[in-house]
Amino acid sequence: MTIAASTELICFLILSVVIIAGGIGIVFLENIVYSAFLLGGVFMAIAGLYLLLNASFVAAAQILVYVGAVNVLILFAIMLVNKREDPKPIKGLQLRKIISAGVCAGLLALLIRVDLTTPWSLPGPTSIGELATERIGEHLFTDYLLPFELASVLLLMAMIGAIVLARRDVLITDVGTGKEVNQGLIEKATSPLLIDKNSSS
Amino acid sequence: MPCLGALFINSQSLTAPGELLNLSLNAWAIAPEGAVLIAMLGTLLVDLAGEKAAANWAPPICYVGLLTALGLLAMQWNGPLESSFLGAFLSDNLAIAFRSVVALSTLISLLISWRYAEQSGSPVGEYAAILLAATLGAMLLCGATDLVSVFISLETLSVASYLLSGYMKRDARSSEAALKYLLVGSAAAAVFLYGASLLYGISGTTNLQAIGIALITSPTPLAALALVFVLATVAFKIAAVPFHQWTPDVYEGSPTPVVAFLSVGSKAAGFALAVRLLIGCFGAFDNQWKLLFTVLAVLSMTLGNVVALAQTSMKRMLAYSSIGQAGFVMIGLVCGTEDGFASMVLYMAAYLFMNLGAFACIILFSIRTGSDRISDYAGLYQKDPLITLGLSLCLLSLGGIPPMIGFFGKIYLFFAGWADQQYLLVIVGLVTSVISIYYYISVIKMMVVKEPYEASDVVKNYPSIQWETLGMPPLRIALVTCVLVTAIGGVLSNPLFQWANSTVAGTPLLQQAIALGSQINIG
Amino acid sequence: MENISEPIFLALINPGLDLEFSFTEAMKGLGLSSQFAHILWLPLPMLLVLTAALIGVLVTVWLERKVSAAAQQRIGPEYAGALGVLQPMADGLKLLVKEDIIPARADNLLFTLGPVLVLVPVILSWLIVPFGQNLLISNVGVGIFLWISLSSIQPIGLLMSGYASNNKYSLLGGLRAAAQSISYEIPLALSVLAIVMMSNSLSTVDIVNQQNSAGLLSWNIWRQPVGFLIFWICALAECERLPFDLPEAEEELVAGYQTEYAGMKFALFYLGSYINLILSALLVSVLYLGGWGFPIPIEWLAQLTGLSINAPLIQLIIGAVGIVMTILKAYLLVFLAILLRWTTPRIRIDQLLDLGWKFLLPISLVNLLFTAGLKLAFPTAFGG
Repeated sequence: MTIAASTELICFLILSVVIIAGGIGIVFLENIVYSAFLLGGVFMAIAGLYLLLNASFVAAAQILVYVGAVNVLILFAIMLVNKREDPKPIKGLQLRKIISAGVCAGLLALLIRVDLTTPWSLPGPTSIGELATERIGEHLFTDYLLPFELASVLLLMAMIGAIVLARRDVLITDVGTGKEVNQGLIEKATSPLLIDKNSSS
Repeated sequence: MPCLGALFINSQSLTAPGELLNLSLNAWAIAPEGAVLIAMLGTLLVDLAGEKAAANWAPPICYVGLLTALGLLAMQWNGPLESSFLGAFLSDNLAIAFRSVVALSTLISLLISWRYAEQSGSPVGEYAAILLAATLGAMLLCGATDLVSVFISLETLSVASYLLSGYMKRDARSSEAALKYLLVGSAAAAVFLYGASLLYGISGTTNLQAIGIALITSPTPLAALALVFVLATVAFKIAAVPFHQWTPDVYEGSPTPVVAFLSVGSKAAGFALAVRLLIGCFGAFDNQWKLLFTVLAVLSMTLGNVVALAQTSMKRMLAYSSIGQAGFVMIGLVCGTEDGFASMVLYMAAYLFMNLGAFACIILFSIRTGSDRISDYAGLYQKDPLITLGLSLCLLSLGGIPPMIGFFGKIYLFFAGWADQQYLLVIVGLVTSVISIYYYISVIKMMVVKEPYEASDVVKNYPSIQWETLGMPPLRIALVTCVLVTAIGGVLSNPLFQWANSTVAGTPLLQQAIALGSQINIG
Repeated sequence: MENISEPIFLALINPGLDLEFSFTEAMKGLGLSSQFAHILWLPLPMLLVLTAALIGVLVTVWLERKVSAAAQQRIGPEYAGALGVLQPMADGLKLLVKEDIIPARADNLLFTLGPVLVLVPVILSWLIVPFGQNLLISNVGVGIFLWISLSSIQPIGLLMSGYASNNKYSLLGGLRAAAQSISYEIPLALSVLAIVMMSNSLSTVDIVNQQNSAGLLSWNIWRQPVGFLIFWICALAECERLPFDLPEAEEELVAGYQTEYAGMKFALFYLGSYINLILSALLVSVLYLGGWGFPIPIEWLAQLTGLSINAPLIQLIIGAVGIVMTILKAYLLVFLAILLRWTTPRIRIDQLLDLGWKFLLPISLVNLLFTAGLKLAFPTAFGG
């Protein structure tokens, strides 16, 4: 084994351990802030995997989008509404945890089994290194043109929707009749909501 | 995939910009979506001029856009079957039929939503724009033939639906519905992506047809796993049991016109996706997915219709009933025969009118009274005969009582199922239909068979009927149209049958599946 | 034979100083294998650049003190060395020996990790700063994009230290810093994109080469004046320099996310902000001011004097001139930033966000569209 290959293997192992341990940590840590920071670490480790695969553009994009935007947004959300409040005990939580752990373990076993029995075609396609950026651009403007354009509609709509839901100015009159309104469902609540139940008890 | 690999290399080697521009995109195929997009942008622009201008001008822009889209779809009918956008989209008759259903459902949902949105004080322009974006996603989903296009259009539809269901932002129920929908929907999207990545790993391509060929040549356990993941997403979108938990809560908390769109437009897109993925891509796993779908259908019909019996809220009852209705439609998909597919398309179209008619009625009722409790409908026939008549007809049709359109749709489905020897499905369908008739009729009984002194307080204080307020005339038009089609469409259903049959005839994908199925039967 | 001829060939098509090649050749002369020589070579440029960055910070701090003094009609540091040049060194030593205090209720781990996360991406970004044709650590293909994505890690570190300090001013400062950083990253990236579109490459070396055909006249600043201004404003905001130093606005937030920090951890923030400033100045000179290029084309000068451009001595001179030019341009910009800091008032947070989202973002989008249009209309002048 050459120096390059063994370095690659070592890097891969380290990154994998970081990703798996980080992922488990995200789920199991009690403090949600730690989970969010760990998530950032996992995203960066995944970018490292892309680098190992010689996909530097994808790696940089991964960091820019997931660490720089998504994770920062998550942290913002957590820090702006960081209410230290213990959740109320849920009935049968232990049983639920056991059941979901069983399901997850079963799924993991299934995935491992399938992974071992599948005849993978190795090695995969050779990487094209620096040409990848151009190739991605070419794909975006040929066979993936439709999804690419549709993504712009998706983003526009998501942005408008987010602004509508988040903005504070309230329309307090009905345009048709001029009556006062409250921006709620027209149907009056018949049964107490989950939120009301929790807050009243 | 040597042949497809060659295709990719071809597209990659074209580096000169001029050559790229000359690739035949065949973009005419998405002209209807273009009309919807222009309407969406127009609505947004009009909305800049203020709420009053939006309330006056957004509706006509939306109508023009959607009617243009429908007209363009009609022009494409039986058109040349060329894949557009280099294999990302295919406008065959199946796609056109489902896209028409989606566009029509949006049109009717918009007609019935103006008054509702205005009365609740929500911004109308953005509402219409987001609904049109959802339509755009749903329409593209109906014809998408590439995993990436499928995913992006699925997300466009889903994200727009999350936004719409949380649109009444001052109402905790609406926010709760949006949050639940978002969480479950994101999980479903993640599962779909996992399955899609497995498919890409197996075949090295994202084109559905090419993946289908790759799966035939090498059906691995991995592909079966991908099938399960993809199927889970499809089941989530069409709200089949056991992937239905989100439905009742989301339907109850969302604004009612949004529920109308979700229960028809979104579901139609889900069925189109099911056809594309399961028949176009998992042809090699025919028996497996049919088995899984049979289970889903039986569970959906049973649970949806049985739980609907116990509901006190009209919206919740319609939510469960829509789960059951999806179960009926699945019978047609499982059959895989010519009649099966045709009955599926026919029932989708019939369901469009009868369900939206029912929603128009309950929206009108809640606009006038502010209630959607079933018990509040007691004695309504004396105060508001139009709602009573319309709701009765639509519910009877949903239950499958002749001579409504729903009866013919359902009988065709059961006939197709019986002919394909799906006895279990048909018997479960028949039994649950009877159950569904019970709860539909009990609503009608509540409205009609009550003495004036037995009427609910809401009905006793019923306001005088007015149609002049802004947004009410469209609601009346939608209501009358839906009810008329539901009532008369059954008797005059021959064109619909022909339309459904030519949908199947004009779709090579379905023809292949039918030919394959009959070969197996003969062999 | 073939193995050797290939680098020579490469060196021929890339005229300029190639230290790695010379180093490897020298090591081979000492009887080492080329692979081993490569491994020996790897840490050298990194150390060199790191040292250069540190010295650059010392110079900048001295400049800052002197210029601020001049702006306020003071003398500034005077006794430590001639003209006080050793003052920054003394500052650094003081920070080094100061007690490292971690507040009692602070989150120990995150408190320590925060400054590191702020500093490391900045230092990593030096990877792509070219001082000459081959005088950079790594000519990676994604070049300038790597810098943009690395600089997006910084807000995480800021949020982390703001949160871990367990102090409301720190948290507010961290949130402000992160908000500012992500707001100004978008116009920054868009203005870089316009440059990338003109030079058809993300690599910093290609971007400089594309500007050096006609010396001063072919610099990008003439073709991208709006982009230059946007980039410079955004770079100042990313570095949290006045008029955009809201995260540490002392009247409102004590010292923002740095409030609880002392000793070496504070020094890391301090170092990070100055290294970032120099880096931004270097990148402005690379993107808009022709990088290592001399205002008059060097080939033209060589022709005039009749000297061969491939002679070793000339190569050395060209390389040295390139380094000097890069540093000169960068320090001109650093000087400008310091002048700005001591002459402009701070803006409010809402004004800052308004400027970023409502002004710079649309302008940079228009600039990008305009550049694309110009590229289609005049392919020769705007990189076809």
